[in-house]
Amino acid sequence: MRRWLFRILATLALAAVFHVLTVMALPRAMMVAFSWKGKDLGQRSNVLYHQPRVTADSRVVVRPSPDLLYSVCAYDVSKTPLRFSASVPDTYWSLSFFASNTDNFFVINDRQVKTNPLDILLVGPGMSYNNPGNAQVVTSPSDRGVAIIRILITDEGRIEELTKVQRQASCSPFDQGL
Amino acid sequence: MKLKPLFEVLVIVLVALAIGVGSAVWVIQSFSATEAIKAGAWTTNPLIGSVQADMYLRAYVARTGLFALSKTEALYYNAFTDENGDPLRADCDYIIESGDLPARWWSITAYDKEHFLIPNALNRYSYNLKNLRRDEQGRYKIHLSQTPKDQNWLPAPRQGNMSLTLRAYNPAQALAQNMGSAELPRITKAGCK
Repeated sequence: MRRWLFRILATLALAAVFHVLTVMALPRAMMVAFSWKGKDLGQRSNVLYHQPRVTADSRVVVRPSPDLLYSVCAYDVSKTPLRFSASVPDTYWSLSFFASNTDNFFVINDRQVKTNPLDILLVGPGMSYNNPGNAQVVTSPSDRGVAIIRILITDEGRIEELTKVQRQASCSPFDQGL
Repeated sequence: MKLKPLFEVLVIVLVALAIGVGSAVWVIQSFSATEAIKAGAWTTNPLIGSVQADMYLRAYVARTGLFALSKTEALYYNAFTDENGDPLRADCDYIIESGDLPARWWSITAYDKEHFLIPNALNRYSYNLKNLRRDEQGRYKIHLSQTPKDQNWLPAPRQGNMSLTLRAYNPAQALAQNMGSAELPRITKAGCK
């Protein structure tokens, strides 16, 4: 009797551990899956890819907004910082960073930017860096993550103009020679 | 019945794995994690996208709304049911009615059961504060249905359940602080086939 009680308690305790591990692992697994989808499309880390407007055929991200133009950069700041440059249009625009656990740890929008074009240096946790001029420095809590630029399409007639603005944005490794 | 020790451990691990992973999937798939705020048919959670989100909300958002912004930037309300709590079905017609939200921009988007946009000949996936036709008081009615309507028609999928997301970008501070304070659209069933 005591032996069976031990087996049941051991099973339940282990089940609780597996439960917590599964829940905690899912966001990171989704981020890895997102990164793999990008690699399947020939996309590399630390490059900003400008997505066409989403349609019903878009299957990369669930519940996308059809009113936005998205640019996405899967980043890795384990070795060098990453420099983001972007022109900011006169419509809702934002640059957001998501850590490897999917937390949105930083966002800046068109009403908050101090310079146009925008200049941001993303650095890894605990990384030493030199600031190239007046770039705003943002520290990522994880080496890997995702950066997303959103541009709101307020008027169907502005898509061509906003697409041009979208394509002026970039992210690239900033080798400081440290 | 006496089990050999190694086999016994293996059985315990496999049963624990099934219970642990199964219960995790069940909890994540349930809506309870996002129902911190419920207003009519709409549910949301002020911690979506936040670093303060608990592990269940973080997992739920990763599965159904990866890369959601935090509430100071955007609010996300989801509706999987009508006002009566019945699931939104493709073979039913619905009327979504309300006025403006106190935000810089807002939109209502329809999704299929897989959480993707619904294919349709018009490529009409959403309505927003600018492209809606309104009455004299500035209020609107959106028709969510398979059958085309004269105005404000949001096409439904051919089959299965569907859902809606109401997005509000740069919400008024009062709304961001109290996400249930605004008048959210009423979703009423007009009839089923």
